[in-house]
Amino acid sequence: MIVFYKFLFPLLLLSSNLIDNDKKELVLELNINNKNITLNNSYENININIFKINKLKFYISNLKFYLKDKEVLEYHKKHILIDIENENSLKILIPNKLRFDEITFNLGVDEETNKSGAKGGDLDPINGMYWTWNSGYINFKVEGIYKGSNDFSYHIGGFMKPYDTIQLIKMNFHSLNENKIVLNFDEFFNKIDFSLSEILSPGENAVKLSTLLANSIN
Amino acid sequence: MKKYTSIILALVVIVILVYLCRIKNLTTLNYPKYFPSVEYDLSKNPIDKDKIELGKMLFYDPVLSKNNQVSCASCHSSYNAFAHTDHKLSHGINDKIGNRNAPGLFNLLWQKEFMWDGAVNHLDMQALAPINSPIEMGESTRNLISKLQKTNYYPELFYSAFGDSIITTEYLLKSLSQFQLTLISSNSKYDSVIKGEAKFSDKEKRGHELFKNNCNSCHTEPMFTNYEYKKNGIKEDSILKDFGRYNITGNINDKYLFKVPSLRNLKYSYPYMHDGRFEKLQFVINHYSEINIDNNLIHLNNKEKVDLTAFLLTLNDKEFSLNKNHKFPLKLIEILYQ
Repeated sequence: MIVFYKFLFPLLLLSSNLIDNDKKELVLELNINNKNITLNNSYENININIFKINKLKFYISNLKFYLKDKEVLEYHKKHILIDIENENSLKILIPNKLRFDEITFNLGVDEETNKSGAKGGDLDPINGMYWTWNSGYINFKVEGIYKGSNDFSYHIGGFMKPYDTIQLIKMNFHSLNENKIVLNFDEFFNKIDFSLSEILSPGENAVKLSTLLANSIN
Repeated sequence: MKKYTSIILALVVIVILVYLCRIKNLTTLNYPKYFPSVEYDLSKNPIDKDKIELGKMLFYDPVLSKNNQVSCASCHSSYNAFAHTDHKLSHGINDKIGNRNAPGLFNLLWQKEFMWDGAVNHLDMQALAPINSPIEMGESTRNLISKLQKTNYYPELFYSAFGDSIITTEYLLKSLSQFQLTLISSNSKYDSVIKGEAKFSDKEKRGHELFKNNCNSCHTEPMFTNYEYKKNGIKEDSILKDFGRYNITGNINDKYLFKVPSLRNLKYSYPYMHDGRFEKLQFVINHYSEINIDNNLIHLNNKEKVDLTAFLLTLNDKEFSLNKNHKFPLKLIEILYQ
């Protein structure tokens, strides 16, 4: 036992420290007009609609890193819930030495996960990203106000064909040592039709919005 | 060093004993050989006595609703094959009336999709719908978890079941599934006949033949449903305006399609159809012999209707409706009325 406390235990601690030092943070930046989105800040889109965002949450899944078209890392967590209000969710820990020039991920939760029962962690329905009346995860949720005090809510999801909304995102990087991923939402908010202010269920409109999102980010 | 070896040995023995205890708690679900292969993936939620008991407590506990007055059992009574006998539409929190008839709960191990329109695609996720519905239990999952955590008995029960006293949605849903998976109805007269332990009367035999020729394509033996969505020929209710499966798929061809219900335990599950509009079995049979659904007319004369009814009544499972293991848990009575 003494051996354990005097030698093995410190070694364990040391090795866990080493592992942490071996990682670096890859920061997700959620941007409009090249600036981080700030909740309740006023934005203006090209149709001169003033809007504010007060909630922004979404899932990314199957995050993979590539170097010269070869996969170099598949992120250990299959689904990550990104929440603008939770700073930790915007940080992804990757090996310090990882070099990559491309990443791919899905915006949303895949069909199998949507169909295979109760899950915990980021996929816990308690996170408010699960429809209770109609099984399925909300892939992307944004809520806010436009033109003064009109509410808008977009809960984009649905995995059943033809209304599947999961979108593949592919991003290329010039530097091999990138430490941030920028997701631009300019196009999404520029092209959105605020007069359709509530889209809260799977269907044609949700598919349109998911395509808009993918085009905006890609 | 010898001292440590004995301590380590003792620890190993304890670990093995604890493990064996856990195994002892693992149990199996029994069902007849002629039942099809199961739909629920038990490897993701292995059946365990403590989890079943916990699920039963939760099923009967009105704590699941916002005002602590409505439980799952409020609309799914064990005495009635877990249906809501004599209620056309289910009643929810503050006497709100729902928009569908509560179905019986049995043989869920074989069921892929839930609710009359198949809105729910997994048994685990089913409970979220009534818990969060403003006209059923009116609660939020988050608040429910925190209410359960604050009780002086649930953390312990979750610990026994999952080895963790921090209650999560996943544990809650999986234990509710476990109890519901134990609700297997396979002891009707029909089952006894299939097992070779009983014989149909002549009337029942004739009814069975009529059934095979006219009903079996949708209400397929031995589960008495093909688990598909079909038109039932019922005219749309002007108030409920229920489009059935279309509400979920958005496919115009799915308008007025509803899940084919099992015909087991009809004695207990009246009134019938998704909106409970037929009070008696006789009315359902008359409906199908009068209405032409997609060029299918089931024409039966009065004698044949009597025979068919006689057969359908052999699907009632009295043993299931009286099964003591499914009743209100004594532990909960002690807690609620202490």
